[in-house]
Amino acid sequence: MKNTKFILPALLLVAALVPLLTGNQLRLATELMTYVVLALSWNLIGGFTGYATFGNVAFFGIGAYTAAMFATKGLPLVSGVLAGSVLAGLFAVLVGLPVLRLKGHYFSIATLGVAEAIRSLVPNLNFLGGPNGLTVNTTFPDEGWYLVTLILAIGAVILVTYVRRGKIGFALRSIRDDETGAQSMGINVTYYKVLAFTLSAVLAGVVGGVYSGFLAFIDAPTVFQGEVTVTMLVMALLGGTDTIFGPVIGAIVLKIIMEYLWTNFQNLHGLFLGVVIILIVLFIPKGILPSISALWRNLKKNAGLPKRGVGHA
Amino acid sequence: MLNLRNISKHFGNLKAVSNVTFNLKEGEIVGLIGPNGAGKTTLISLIDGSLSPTNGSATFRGEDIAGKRPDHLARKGLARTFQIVRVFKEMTVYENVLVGALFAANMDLSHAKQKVKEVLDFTGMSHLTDKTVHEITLPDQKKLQITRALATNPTLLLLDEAMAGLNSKEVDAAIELVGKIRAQGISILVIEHLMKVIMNISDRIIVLHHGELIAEGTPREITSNEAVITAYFGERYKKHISQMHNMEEQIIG
Amino acid sequence: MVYLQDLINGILHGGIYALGALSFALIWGVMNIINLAHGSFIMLGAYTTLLLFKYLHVDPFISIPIVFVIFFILGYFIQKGVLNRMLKASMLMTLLITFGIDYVLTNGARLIFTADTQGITTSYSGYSFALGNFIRLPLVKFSALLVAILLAFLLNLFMNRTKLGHQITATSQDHEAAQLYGVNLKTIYAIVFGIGIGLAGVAGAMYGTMFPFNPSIGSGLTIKTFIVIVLGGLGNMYGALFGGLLLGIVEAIASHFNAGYADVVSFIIFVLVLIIRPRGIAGKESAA
Repeated sequence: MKNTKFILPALLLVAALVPLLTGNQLRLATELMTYVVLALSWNLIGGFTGYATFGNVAFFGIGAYTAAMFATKGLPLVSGVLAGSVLAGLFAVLVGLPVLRLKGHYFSIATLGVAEAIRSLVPNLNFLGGPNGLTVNTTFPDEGWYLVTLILAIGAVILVTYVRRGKIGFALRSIRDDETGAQSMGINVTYYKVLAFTLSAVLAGVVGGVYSGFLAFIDAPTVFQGEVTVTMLVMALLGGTDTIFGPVIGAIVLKIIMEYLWTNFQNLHGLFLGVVIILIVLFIPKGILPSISALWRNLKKNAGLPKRGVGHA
Repeated sequence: MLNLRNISKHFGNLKAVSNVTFNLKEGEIVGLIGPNGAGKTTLISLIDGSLSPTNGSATFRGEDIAGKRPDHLARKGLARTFQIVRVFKEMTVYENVLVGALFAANMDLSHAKQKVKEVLDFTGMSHLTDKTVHEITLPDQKKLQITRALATNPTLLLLDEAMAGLNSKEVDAAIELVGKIRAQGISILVIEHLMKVIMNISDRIIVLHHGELIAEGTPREITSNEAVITAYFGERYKKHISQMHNMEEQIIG
Repeated sequence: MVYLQDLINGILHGGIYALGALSFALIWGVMNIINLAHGSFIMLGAYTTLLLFKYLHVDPFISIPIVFVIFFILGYFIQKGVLNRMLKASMLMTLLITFGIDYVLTNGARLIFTADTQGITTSYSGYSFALGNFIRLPLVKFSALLVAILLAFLLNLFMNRTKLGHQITATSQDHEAAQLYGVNLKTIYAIVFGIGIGLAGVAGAMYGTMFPFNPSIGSGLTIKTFIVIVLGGLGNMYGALFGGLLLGIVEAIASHFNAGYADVVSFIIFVLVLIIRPRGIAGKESAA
């Protein structure tokens, strides 16, 4: 696809902007990159595979808590981030095997249940700091966090592109469209569903770990809050779930809108998110990117340009 | 190549398939008929692994297949189509077929692409290559099911009412296609309601009634079999005759 | 004896859960909508009752029919204006739009009522009957349970004895066939959503008399409602009652050991039930 050529250089250009960004902008950009990864992570299982999880924040939180635990024990944060993503992945396999047997509503609510169970469990566990949470002492500068999350975002785009273009991508999309049909085409559906869920968890776990260092303090209400799942989900849907870059576009657009509302009408931003969700569902259910390309195709057609494709051979 | 021994499937008290035994030989086309609810689709699902049998055994090319998963059997050369189409609606025709070559036939991408082109030409669907499936007609979706099944390199093809809902011209084309598929050495087990089709293409016909196999033989033998006429045709005999009559009229007219 | 008191509390709380679940299941069963905003409607019911009590001095139990009518109208128009537009949409889209509604309700409530926790305290709030020497039966909670049972009974009567009820049942079983018999699908759906939201509002009125509440309780209540249905089975009035009581008891016993574990235990039981009998819940193995 042609957009790939533009997007990677564009991201590198974004990286070059670092010296121009001031403190607060830098922190916003870091959060944005974190959400780019989360939206891509959600899209692997919720978009490509069609298993709409309402609990992906669990993996984010597991990553964050593991990294923070490592940091409090005096271990380097990098090792904690790695351990956190591995743990998130393992947890996804463990939970995914039974839960991915559920379909539709049941899967969505079960994942929500798992995430909520962890959110209410963690404040009761004293070794995780109980209700007080954990503090991470780092001297890493804001520029550093931004670059780390930017690199992770680029890495996530590469991973998702690889998945989507390759054999795995075909397996996942077949499962989304018709699981029985996919099985009859020789696809081991359990394997691919768990794989997608695990990859999604690993991505969320990595940024979770980095986020704990970035915030320097975490507690369960912050890193396990359901709103994180909703935000990544809405970003993916807003941009377009059947695409590689949809979640990236969705993350950027939603983050900008939310930030604008947050600074101008602080109290309204939650209400607004709800309205945005309703409007997306009613008016652009396929997302921004596919809507734009549909529009583009129509324009081309009306302009009398030849259509791309094999045609009547 | 396919041997079923006393195979049964019960859903609670319902005996959907009971004690069915039959063999299908290499290169053969066997028609599977029976009134609605006779257990035809259940039998196909027992063969392709969608359901595991309650009792009995099944082997395919010497390998025990009872209770094996459908994706495993698809990789062993067993392909099926579904009565209610199960194509991938948000993917293109091309991608639908590619999936079969990539996974069931386990080809690498470049070989798979070659295969897709071949089978699309073979079934005459090349002109739809880049269409998304929800944009094509239901008859074309049914044809796509057959096309993508062929991309899996099958040795046995299970067709579950692949021609229901087609007009007579499309039915004729489908019959021709089945002939071409057989010419490639692929064995076929076919469920079909249209008598004209089943009588035309089958080497042998087996008849299910209330989950039991009540008759087996050549098309000629089956049409004169008392048990079949009473059980299967019964009061619906007239309806079928008129159906065939209508069809002839359509063809001639 | 302490356990027995927990058990009593659990049963009393269970009535509210059952009422929430009953209305949730009605919407699910007829329209196949998982209403993620359900808990927030319960939350709004509590606030509405509080407003009626505080400014118009209407007793919470007297306000039940008023709350029902207000919420019926609200639900009716949400279905007419929004949900009926997406009857053919995918499961995710339907789930998401109710989620959007939930967000609007929760955040709207925060704007209007602030995030502070409130409660409805009547002159009889602290009153309870003594049962024997150790067990006490709080008047308000006991009355709320009676209201829940009464409403379940009335809903059952409505569904089984009225023409409209029959039409709703027919629609839930086969909406195409129901249409052939002259049922106006969209109107039926609006009425069902109205009844469901009306009952959720009443559940909120009862909730407000029993527990402190704030705008954020909605999503937790939605999940609990779902748990009750999973425990009790969909499509059965008595299942909801059974599931509600079971959840109430489990929570009461878990919180006897550690208040923080009440939610954890119920979520874990919920996920386990889902996993262990997914077929029983998500549908039967079919012959077709």
